[in-house]
This record gives sequence, C-alpha cells and structure tokens, in this order.
Amino acid sequence: MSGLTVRGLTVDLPGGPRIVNGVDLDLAAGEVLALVGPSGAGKSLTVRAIARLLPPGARVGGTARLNDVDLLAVDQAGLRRLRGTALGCMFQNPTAGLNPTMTVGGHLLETLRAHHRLPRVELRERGLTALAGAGLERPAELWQAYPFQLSGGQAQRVALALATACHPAVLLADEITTELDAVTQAQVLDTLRAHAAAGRSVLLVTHDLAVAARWADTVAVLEAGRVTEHGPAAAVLHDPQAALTRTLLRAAQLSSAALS
Amino acid sequence: MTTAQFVARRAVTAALVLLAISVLCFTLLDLAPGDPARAVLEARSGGLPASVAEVADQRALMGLDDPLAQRYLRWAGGAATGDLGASSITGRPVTAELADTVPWTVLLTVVATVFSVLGAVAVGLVAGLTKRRWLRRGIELAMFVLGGMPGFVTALLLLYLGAARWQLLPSGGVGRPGEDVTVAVVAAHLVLPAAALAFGHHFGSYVRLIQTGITGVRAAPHVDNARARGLGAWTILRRHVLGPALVPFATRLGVGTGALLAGAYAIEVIFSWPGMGRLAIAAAKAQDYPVLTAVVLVTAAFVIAANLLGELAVSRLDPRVRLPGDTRRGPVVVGDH
Amino acid sequence: MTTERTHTTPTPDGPALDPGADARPGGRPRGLLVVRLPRPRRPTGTIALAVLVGMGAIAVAAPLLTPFDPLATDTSATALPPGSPDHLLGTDLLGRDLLTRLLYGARTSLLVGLVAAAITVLAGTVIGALAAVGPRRLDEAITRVADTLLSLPLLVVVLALSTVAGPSLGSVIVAIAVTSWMPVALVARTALRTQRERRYVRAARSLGLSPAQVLGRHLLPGAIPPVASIAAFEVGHAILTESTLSFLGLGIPPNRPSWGNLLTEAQSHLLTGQWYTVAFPAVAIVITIVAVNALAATLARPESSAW
Repeated sequence: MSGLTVRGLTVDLPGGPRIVNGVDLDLAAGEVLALVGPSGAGKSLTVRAIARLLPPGARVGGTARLNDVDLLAVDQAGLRRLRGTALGCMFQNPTAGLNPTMTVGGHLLETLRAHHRLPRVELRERGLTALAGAGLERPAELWQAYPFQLSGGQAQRVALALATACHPAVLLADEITTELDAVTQAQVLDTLRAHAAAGRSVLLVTHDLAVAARWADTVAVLEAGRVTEHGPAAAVLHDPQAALTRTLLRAAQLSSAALS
Repeated sequence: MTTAQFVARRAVTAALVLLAISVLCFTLLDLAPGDPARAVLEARSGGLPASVAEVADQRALMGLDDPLAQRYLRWAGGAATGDLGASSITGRPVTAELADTVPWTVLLTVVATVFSVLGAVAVGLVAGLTKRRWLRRGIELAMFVLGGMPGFVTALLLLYLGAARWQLLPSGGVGRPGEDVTVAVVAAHLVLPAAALAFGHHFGSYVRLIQTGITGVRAAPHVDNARARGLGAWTILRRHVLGPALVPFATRLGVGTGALLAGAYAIEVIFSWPGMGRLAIAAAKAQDYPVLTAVVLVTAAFVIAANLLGELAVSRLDPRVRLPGDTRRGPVVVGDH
Repeated sequence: MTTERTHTTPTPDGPALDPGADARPGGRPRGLLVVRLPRPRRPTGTIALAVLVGMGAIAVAAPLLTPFDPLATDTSATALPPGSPDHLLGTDLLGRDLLTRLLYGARTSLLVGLVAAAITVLAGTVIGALAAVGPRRLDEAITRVADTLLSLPLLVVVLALSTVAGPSLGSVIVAIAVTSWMPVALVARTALRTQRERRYVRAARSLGLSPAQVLGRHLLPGAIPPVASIAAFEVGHAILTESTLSFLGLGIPPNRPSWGNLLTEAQSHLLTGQWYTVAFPAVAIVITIVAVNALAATLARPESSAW
C-alpha cells in the first residue's frame, strides 16, 4: 500500500477568497499525520478538497496522488469507484452524517453493495467485521439500531466502520473527536491507531495539540493556507521552528513534560 | 404500546367522536325548518300539497312527535344494527343509498390521492433540485395562484379544457347511457374529476412541503457522507434526499386526505359523479335528514381513518417519530462507547 | 399537538414594535395605536392591497357604474357575447347584463368575506386570548376542542348548518365563522404566549402592572402582526367557502347575486359555449383570493417574497 501525496493544493471559495494556498503533504502507509492550526486556517477545506466534497462553485488546484491516481483529476465514475475503496472519510458530527431513517446495517449494506457484487449474506458478514474492527462489541445488535439510538462514541465508531468497510488505503478524519468526551475520545483514537498499525494511512485534522502529540506520528502546521511546519510529532511539538507553532503551544499551555 | 394497542385506543376515541357527532347532527337537523313528513308526502305525490290530516298521520307513522332523546335512541339503536333509516325522498333504505354511492367516492378519492402524491413529488423534486431560478420561481408562483382557486373553479377549468374545448375526455357520469360500464370506460370518466380533485388548492402546499424538504435535506451532512462512501447519484437521491424529505409531506397527507374528501363534494356535482358527495348535496337541498346524517357520519369516519393511517405511515417512515405512549425505544447501550 | 416551550425566544422585537416609543422626545401616544405595521420591502403586498381597495371601491360604486338591475331579465337580449353594444360583458340566457351581475355580486361576496372574517377573527382572538392568559385547564380544553374540530371535514358541518338555517346571507356568515375560528384561536394563543415570555413583559409584571394592563399594553400589540396575517388569510378563506356554498346552491340565494351563485349552472354553460358567463365571476374570485393571500403573506413576513 502506498500513501497519499499532495502537491500545491489550492482552494478558492465561491465569491473569491483563496483559503488554501499551496499545500504539500506526504503521507506514507501506516502513518498518522496530524494537520493542526488555528481556526480558519483551512484544515477542513484541505481534507474536503482531497475528497472532492467542497460546496458547488469552489475551485480546486494542484494534485493529490493516491496509488498513482490523481484524485483531483479523475472523472466522476472513477471517483465514485475510488471513494470507499481507496479513500475513506470521517467527519465531525457522526450522528448527523447518518441517514436518520436507516439502520446501521442498512448503511453498511448500501456501502458494500455499491462496490462489491456479492450475495447479501456475505455483505452482512463483511459489515459485521467492519463494525467489530471499529471496536464495537456485539455488532449484530447494533446492526438493527437507528442513528438516534447511538451514543456519540458509538456513532463515531459506526462512521469508522463505514469508512473502512471497503478497506481503503487512506483515511481522512476531520475533527472526529471534537464532540466527544475525553475518555471516549481516547478510545476512538486508540482504535484509529490500530488501523494505522495495520497499514492504513490516516490524515487526522485536529485543533487539539494534545491529541496530535499523543496519537500522531507526524505533524503539519497549517497557517493562512500554507504548511509552515512539517515533521515528526515529537520534533515539531518540542522544538517548534515556526512562530505560529510556538504561539499555538503557548496558547495550549503545553509544557514539554506534558507532551512526552 | 404496540401498533395494535395504539390502533385499538384510537378506534375507541373515534367511536366516541362519531357518537358525539351523531348526537350533534341529529339535534341540529331537528332544529331545521320544514317538516320531513310533509316532504315525504309531497315527494310521493309528485309535488301535490298534502292536507293537514295526512301530514299528522304521516308524522305519527314516522314517530316524529316523540321526544328528541327517544327519537335519537331509536335511530342510534337502528344504526348499531345496520339500519340507518330510509331516505325521506326516495324511500329507499339509507344503507342502500350509501352502498350505491360510497364506493364511487372512495374510488375517486383514492385515484385523486395517487395523482396528487405523484404530481407533488414530481413538481416538488423539480422545484427543489433545479438550479434555474426562473423555473423554481415559476413553479412557486403557479402554486401560489393554485392556492387561490377554489376546488370547483379548478374543476370547471378542467371541464372546459378537457371536455368542451379540446373534446378529449367525457364530461360527466361514469358512462354514456347504453354504454357498457367497463374498466376502461370508467377510467376515461375518472380522469377529469380525479385531476380536478388532485390538483386543487391544497396541491400547492404539498409541493411547497416537498420542495422545502428537499432543499433542506440536499445540504445535509448525511448526503455528503453518502457521496464520500461512493454511492451512486441516483441511490443518493432516492434514499438519502427523497426519503427524509418526504416525512413532513407524509404527515400532512394524512390530514390532507380529509380535506380531499370534503372537496370531492363539489367535484362530484360538477362531473355528475355518482358518489356520496352528490348524494349529500341533493339530500341537503331536499331536506332528506336521514341520508344527510348518515353521510356526515360516514365522512367523519373516513377522515378519522385517513388521519390514523397517516400517523401510522409516518411512524413507519421515520423511526424517530414515536406513536404516543410508545415507551419501547431507548439508546442502545452495548457495553462500550 | 402543541408542545410546551417556556424558554425566552432570542429574536429581537423588529420594526413592528417599538416599546421605547413613548420614551422618545416629543412624547408619542401609548397603547395599541403606537404599533406600526411592518413596511413591506417588496411591492407585491402593496399591489395586492391596491387591487383589493380598487375592487372594493368598484363594488361600492356599482349602482353608479351600471344602469341595469342585476335581477331584471330582458327577453330581447338573451345570450349576447361580450363586446355587444350596451353590454360590455354580454348577457346570460335570461337577458341579464353580466357586468351588472358581476359588480353586484362583488358587493355580496366581498361583504360576506369581510364580515365573516371579522367575526371569525374576533371570536378566534378572544378564544385564543382566553386560552393564553386563562387557567391551565381552560387552555387545555380549548386547544383540545380546536384540534379536534380542525381534523374534521368542515364542508360537511357547513352543509348541515346551511340546511338547518336555510340558505341566506346570515346563515352563510355564521356557518363560516363557526367552522373557521380554530386557526385564528391557535395563532392568537401562540402569539400571546410568545409575547408573554419577552423580557419587557416580565419587567412590566414585576413592576406591578395588573394582568389587564399587561394584556392591553404589551401582549396584544406584539401579537398583532401574526393575527393580522391570519385575519387576511381568513378573508380569503371566507370568500372561498361562500363561493363554494353558493355555487352548490346552499349559500346565498339567487335573489341576491354573488360570485358563487353566478356560477350555479356553470357546468352546463361551459358545455354549450357560453364560457364567458363562467369566466368572469371565476376570475374575479381567484384574483380576490390570490390578492388577499399575497397580503396575508406580506403581513406575516414582510422581508421575504409573497410567493
């Protein structure tokens, strides 16, 4: 499995402003890269641009290569095939990302059916495996549940199961723990790390430097649409080169001791 | 509480409401001027006035001089066993009149509801999804004007265009005299009245509901999420946009069917459709109280049933909506978070 | 069906309500009259109002505008098409001038619409106010009754009422009022309850104003915009109901033309080619109701489009 290579990514919103202004990222197989920065820097837009889920009218430039395919240049049919099988996404509010009139099982079945032509029994097996792989006990019970019946942590794990059901090489995670309590947050991120250990690349967008410190291998700092620092987590957070990183660390009141 | 219990509870309430309506109706019609005995005699004699003695005899025969409560109980007792009295004009049993006319009204209402739903979904989809401002605003304006047209005006317009001007479809009844009443013939006669009923002045609010539902859902996070999982555009539209968007519409439909039924009266008159509505109007004009009471009750029963079906359908469509009294569902706590 | 919410609504009091008006220099009068109805930003509402006022003026001036008697038949001038000399809109099968009947019909229909709506709104507002400020049990009873009545097919009730009272102007008005008060009551109730939660109302009560003073000076003025909107809607609804009833022969009797009873034999006229006897009253009805609905929409939401 190879990873994700982003070069010169730019995003213009409808109406003018260029929010993302030339971003380069390298993500290797099995690596967890945390994308941090102040609000408004363009972190979420970067991730959405790679997944091609921007609002209509937005313009994207640059390349995002995954397995020798440029995600930003591929046609609609190809994009649909790649989504789910090469690239998986998770977003901030997991319950809102689920259809309130469908069960968990329904979501998994439709995702798997979109990419694999297999009998229903086999699809269900794969779905249950995905739920288990996302750290959910008793997946068969959860299969019948509706989104409004899930806790925040459960919903985020379901989202993880959906994102990984077709075994994508790369996982994009946009502020996935912002709405969770600290304990649940730690549990979900541990599961994510386990996926990375199995060879999946993870791009983790977060505004929480402690999260980056504890669960990421590398850190990229985004400031005003550009990456100002990019390196191993320990290095960036202990010995920041850019002024912004220092400001962020000070604002988060993290000492070196707390980071290790 | 299960669905069965819910329905049973509602059935009891419905029975009480119908009982109250029957009392009200009976009492109200009792206040009406005119003498039913005289009306019967004059109908029988073809318009010749009846003498005072004849009227008195007829009144005694019909039990009209008994106290109100006694007359009501007599009627209610009969109704409970299936005897709703006899039409004071034709003399036929009311149940026979109903049996002749109710199926036609049900047919008309059901077909009109189907037209209405299909039409509203089609127009609402276009209005909700189109990026062309002129199309969207055009539809909104048309719906607004439609909301200002009374049902009978729409019916007259359709009658004029369909039957008089362009001679496409028959103008009334369910078959020309001498013609066999086959399915095809009835269908041809059904088109105009059903269309008039379907696209009457509630249609605009249906379209608006669907349109708003779609524009609201189109930008929802779960739609983005569905795209991110690689689902096809058609699947997304069908299951993730249309599904949740139709919930407010479904809620309204249950109530709207009642209004549809009421609107059917004027339509039946215009198109000479042999249904309950036409019967009711004729009964009202002729002061045929037994028939009128029966029709009011039957209509009320249908409306209550339609409301109930609507509520059941919505609870099926949207699992978040619980029937009142349902304590079953709660968050699934499966050990871990 | 009505859920209880007692949080304070954060929406600011818009230009419709100016509680500080009497604090301004120059001293403005207090009370209900100080309310300014919102000025519509789009012309639709003004156009609708102009249309309605124009129509009303023409209706009032009917005898001045036409020499004919709406009921007088003229066997020498039957079934004339529009554009005939002396008869701008033509005549019907009995030789009655259609323009005259249309104008006099306007008088009846608009009168019934306004009076029925006025009674409906008055009754509905009183009932809604009782529900909003009265004891809890009364509120529940009223809401329950209103909801139940709303779920019944009203034409049926109106039918029964017209049968009992016999077709006449008065019976039509009463029938409409009895079957249309519910939405007004519910809107008035909601509006008054929302007003009650506003900060300045709580302030007034804590200052010791009596419930009557609070109602008159603070609750009612703020509730006026939504009630005005549904009042306008009710005028349209009244005209619609009257025209349907009269068309069916159960409303205004034929000795008094109304747009509805001008259409009583409409279907047979359409099939014999006299479409114009149907078109003019029908168009008049639709234009009136659409204009009233546009006005109602503008009163409810002055900044967005009426349609």
